[in-house]
Amino acid sequence: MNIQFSNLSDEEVFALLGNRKKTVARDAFEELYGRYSTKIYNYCRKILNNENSSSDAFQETFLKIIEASKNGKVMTNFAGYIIRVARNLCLNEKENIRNTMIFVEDLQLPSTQPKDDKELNEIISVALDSLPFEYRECLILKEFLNFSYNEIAEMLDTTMPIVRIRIHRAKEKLRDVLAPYSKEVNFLLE
Amino acid sequence: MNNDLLIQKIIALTDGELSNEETAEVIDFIAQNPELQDEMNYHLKMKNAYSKAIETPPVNLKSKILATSGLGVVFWKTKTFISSTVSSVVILAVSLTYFLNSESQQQTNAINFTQLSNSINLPLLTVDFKNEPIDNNKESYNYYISKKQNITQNIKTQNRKSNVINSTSETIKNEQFLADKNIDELSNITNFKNITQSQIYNSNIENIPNIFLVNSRYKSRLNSQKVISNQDLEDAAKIISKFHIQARKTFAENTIDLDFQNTNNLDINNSSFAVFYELTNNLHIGFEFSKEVFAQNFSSIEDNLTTNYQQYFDSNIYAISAKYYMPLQLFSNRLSFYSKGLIGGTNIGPVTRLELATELRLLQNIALYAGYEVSNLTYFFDGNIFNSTRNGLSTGLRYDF
Repeated sequence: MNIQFSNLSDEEVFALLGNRKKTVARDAFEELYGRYSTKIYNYCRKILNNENSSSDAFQETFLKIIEASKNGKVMTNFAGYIIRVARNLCLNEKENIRNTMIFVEDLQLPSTQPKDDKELNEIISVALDSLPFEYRECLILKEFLNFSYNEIAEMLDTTMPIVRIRIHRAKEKLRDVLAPYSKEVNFLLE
Repeated sequence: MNNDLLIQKIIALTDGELSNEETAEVIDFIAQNPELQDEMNYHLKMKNAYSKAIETPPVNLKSKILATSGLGVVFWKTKTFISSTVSSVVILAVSLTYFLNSESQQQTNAINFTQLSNSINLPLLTVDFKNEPIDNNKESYNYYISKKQNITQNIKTQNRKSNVINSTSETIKNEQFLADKNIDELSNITNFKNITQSQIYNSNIENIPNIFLVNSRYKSRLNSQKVISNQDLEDAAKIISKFHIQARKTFAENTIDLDFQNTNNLDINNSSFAVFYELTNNLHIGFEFSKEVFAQNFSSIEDNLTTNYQQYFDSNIYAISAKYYMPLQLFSNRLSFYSKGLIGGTNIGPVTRLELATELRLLQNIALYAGYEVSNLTYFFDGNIFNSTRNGLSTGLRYDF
């Protein structure tokens, strides 16, 4: 049986992930991993801002997906499901690392002028940490995972206007946080 | 449109979340208010910044997930490769052993033995001659056939005094008696009839009733004649069974610690493959191919300046070696000890190696060994003779054919 996984929907690939035939299950995993690994990794990374914790949450997310498929879970919205799994795991991880909200005045951004994308990433990650979780999550889902407002609303079980407002407020707050570093950020973006 | 709502719409515009009508409306508004252009530019720049901050998951995470979930293809493939290789070797070895040790199923064309039998009145007796060498080139031997009762009678007569034979029921003793006679003695027994070797060889003698074989040696001789080519294979099997192969990996290190590492062929360096022949129970000789890395320090004077050099030498060693197994064996002979000496050559100089090892037999044909070794490479370089030495532990597997 030669399955063209690229032609299948997320939900169809998910169903094949629990296939008894190991080669089929593995190919299904490869397909889903290809579609979602970058999104989930960035979600975990930006939510947790901790490399080890985000790696753990990332792995655990995919393991839970595999397990769910093996258990015969019927999937209607895979994207929403995998984000919810990652979200729950990240929240658990946050409990573990006691990652409390950072106040703007306590924020410590790199003191030197950023030189590359890595440092820009660091600035943004730290700045994101200062946002309330709801705002941060919406912004991450939009900017790093490239979901639409509607999709985000569906994932978070809320409405599209609320998502739009959260993203707006997140960006405005982020602007305030990054204001002292506007030169540096502009320097990197030029 | 208040300011907050306006910025919200600009953000939604940069996010691509506005309808066509909304987009046109906001763009018109921005065109009429140039100060809003900076606002939109800021959000576009930030979008660019976010996209630059997207990270790729580390490669190792995927393999960890695969390994944990049991979907790991690398491990699976490795396991399959190892198991298929091992099973192939085992099947090959078993097949070879069976083939070399099995008797040929060669069929012969039966002569009309019934006709022959009729002419001499069954039952028959055939006689083997003890200690008589088989001459394959000889067309025929004389085999004696006679009526059973007559033979018994004659034997009785000859052994009356010793009471060895006292009834026809003791046919085994009769057979032994006949087998112990040489051809001259048997010739003196009356009523024996000779038939040619070819007549017997070409008969399906075991399937004819009332044929009386003198002893098992007759049958074995018959078989050995019928399947002479199989005899060659049996001999070959005996010779091959005296061979074994060894794969060895050494963890010995150079006595000279260099500042740099040789990265060539890390997987196969410092390993060897050998074939040994069991000359005696204790002494095995063999041919060995090794790859070893030797290191050296040396100094050279050029233009009144002393320069220190360091070098690695990746050596391909072709060598002969001898193993001496000590008489001491433990745990039902499963654990034995040996010393090994090797002398070989590389393209730059000779190599010697001494090894002390212990060998644990895991299966009938497989043993694991481990020991301590010292290797030395002598070579000529830059007008000088150098010795490079390695010592340390080595281990490997031995497979007996």
